[in-house]
Amino acid sequence: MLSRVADNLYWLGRYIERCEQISRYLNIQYFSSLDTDFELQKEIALKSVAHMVGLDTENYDDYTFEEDILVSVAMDDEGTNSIKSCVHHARENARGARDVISVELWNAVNKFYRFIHDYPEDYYKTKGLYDFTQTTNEHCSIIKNKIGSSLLHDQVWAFITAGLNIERATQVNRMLLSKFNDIEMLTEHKATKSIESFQWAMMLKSVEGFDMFRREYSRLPNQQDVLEFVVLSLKFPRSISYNINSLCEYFNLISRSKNVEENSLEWSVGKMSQYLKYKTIDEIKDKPVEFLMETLTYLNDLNTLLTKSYLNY
Amino acid sequence: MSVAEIREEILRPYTVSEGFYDEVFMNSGEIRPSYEKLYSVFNQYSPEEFKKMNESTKLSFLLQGVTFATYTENPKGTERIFPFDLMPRIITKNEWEILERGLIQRNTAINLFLQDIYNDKKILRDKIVPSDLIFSSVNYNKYMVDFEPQGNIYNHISGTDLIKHSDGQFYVLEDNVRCPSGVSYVLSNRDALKRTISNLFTSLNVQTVYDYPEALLNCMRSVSPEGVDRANCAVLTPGIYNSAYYEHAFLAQSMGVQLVEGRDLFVDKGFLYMKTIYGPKKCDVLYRRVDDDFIDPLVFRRDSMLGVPGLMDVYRQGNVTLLNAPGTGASDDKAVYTYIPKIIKYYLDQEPILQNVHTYQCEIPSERDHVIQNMEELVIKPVDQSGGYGIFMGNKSTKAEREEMKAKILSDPREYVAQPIMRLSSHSTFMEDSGEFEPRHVDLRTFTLFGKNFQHVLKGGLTRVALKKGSLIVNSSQGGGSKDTWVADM
Repeated sequence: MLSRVADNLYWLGRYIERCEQISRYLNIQYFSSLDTDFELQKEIALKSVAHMVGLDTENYDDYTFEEDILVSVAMDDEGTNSIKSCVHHARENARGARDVISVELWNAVNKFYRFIHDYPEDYYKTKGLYDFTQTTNEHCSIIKNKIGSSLLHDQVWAFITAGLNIERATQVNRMLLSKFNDIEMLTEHKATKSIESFQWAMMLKSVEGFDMFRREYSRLPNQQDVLEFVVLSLKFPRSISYNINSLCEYFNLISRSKNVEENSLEWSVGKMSQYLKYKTIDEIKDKPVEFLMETLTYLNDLNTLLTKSYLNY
Repeated sequence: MSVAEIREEILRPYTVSEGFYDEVFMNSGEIRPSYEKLYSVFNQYSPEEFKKMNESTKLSFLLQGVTFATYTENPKGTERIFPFDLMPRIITKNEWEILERGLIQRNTAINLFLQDIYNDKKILRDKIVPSDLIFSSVNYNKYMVDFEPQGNIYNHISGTDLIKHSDGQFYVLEDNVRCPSGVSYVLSNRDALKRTISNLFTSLNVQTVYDYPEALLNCMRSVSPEGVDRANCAVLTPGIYNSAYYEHAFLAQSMGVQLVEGRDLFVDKGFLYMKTIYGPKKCDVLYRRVDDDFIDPLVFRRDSMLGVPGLMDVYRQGNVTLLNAPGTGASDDKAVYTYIPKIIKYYLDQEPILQNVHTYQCEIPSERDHVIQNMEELVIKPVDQSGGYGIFMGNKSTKAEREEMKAKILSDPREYVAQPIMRLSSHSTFMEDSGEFEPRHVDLRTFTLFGKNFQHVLKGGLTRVALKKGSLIVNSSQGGGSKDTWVADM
């Protein structure tokens, strides 16, 4: 496979996953904040979304704050991380790899692009937020279905899926960091314990894990349990540990050498996966933000290593 | 009165403009026999149903990404579908057999001509074609001199354009032997028509077009470099922003070969390699959809980012085969076109099966005078431009435009040729605005493949339609559309 095409596939996976995570986070944050009695809730929710996608809101006008954030996150043509530009990039990457993916996958990506591209901005700002984020999620699900069921599970599939998993781990990590940031803001404003619990419930919903969390823990969400579930669980498919563990399989498929060489991609991800497997919540709970920052750095380094090993052209 | 009788028919006879040949209706208003079955199927639909089918077909092209991009209105590019008409053009099997023989004859002669002008130059020494005409052409490629490509094939893919004149005969309008495009539309048009009007196919025995990708792959393999058993073939594209990228990807995918860009390739010690995730992989046959000027910055345009430095060197060593061969443009410009009948006679000792449109060469003083005196009745074309650009339609011109054109011709006569305004045949075409079928002018792009001991003509081709009323320019860049073309048993 051409290195450029592998690069296209990997980034196709990353951008699709980024669209999905951002749109779900935006949806959950926005709609959950509408009916709370804590007056700053909505502002904090919007800031949280901005924090997650890495938007700088310092210079935003108070009057147009809400609209500006909603537009920047979803509709901005220029922004690097808006949903619209992610879909645009996803499609460009799919186009660049058009000859190795299935027609079904391409059609699904192209359909998604048309949906976002033709979505009227005014409607989105006033009435369409729910429809927009929800349909975005549905498109992402269809695309992932095509990735899983219409491709050979060979290197093509492995590069896309590696992109999906690295991005998912990265975005879940960023969501958690955003949540810690929100809770810090809430504490400054002397919010109650129940509001904190509400924030952790939102976190779970943002990764579609609320119901399964309840099955697993049978109690109201709190910081420690949620952290354990979303970072360390090996049963929950959106946890960071689960995703890094899955990467071992894909990298083994991509690599052709029988022995795992030191500092190779398989070696790095195997080591990290074992490290997380034996990590306990007690080791993390006191300094969660430091731990998350370290994991995020690891994921960035992994991206660099992958690029160096296979994707340079 | 039965339901069928009161219902409005969508396909009704219309007035055919005087002096034109209509493919569907005779001047008397009667339907031509080859269209009778189609006529009855079409009239089973109401105008509303037809409109709906038309809409859904357009949408399906958009969703599949069967689009081309234009950058004139919006720097980021506006994506358009190539307008497609649901009514197919029918060519009877008998008529087609003659066309097919004519295409093979003409392109065989062109291939022999190319081989000759780059090697022995016999035809020039025998003064059948003036050597000035060839050596003054910007498309005569000096890097091809004294070199014979694999299997001696130059024009592997030819996109000959034909028109049907008012006398009901096909004429050759242009020989496109550089990088002719459009074949992917033939296949996607067929798909679209099968989905929408499937009952038509059952009543007519339509020849398939789906063997084209396989034929193209066989064609590529037949010209593999000496000693290569299983050739690694690829399609070279300028990239995703090229207006024909859809076609490049389509062809690579349907042949099951890699689609590469210049930056995916490099030259090392006389061989061409692809950069893959497991290191370099040798590439043996390249169907390049990048123009000559851009394929190798070391010998052609130095600013080209689309090509591969050193490619021509590998090519001349015989370690990679390029389709089409560089330098084929020396045989398809509009000044050389005039000589094709003589070229056929010279190499094959046969009378041409397909006729040329009479062409005046401004280079020859007597013909130049005729052109200048009769500008209003002529179409004047620059010899080396494609895509319908720079065409001067005498009957639509103002006095000032004619003066301007005259000055251009006098300053550079080699650059211009003129032809009588050809009466392109018309064909019923569904017009969205009126919701009715109206006559629009059409031509036919055919696709001929040549390999080593291998010939294939795509059955049918791409019928291009000038959608503007009365317009005779069918190019997609100038508002043209297309039709599926059926070679069918009647």
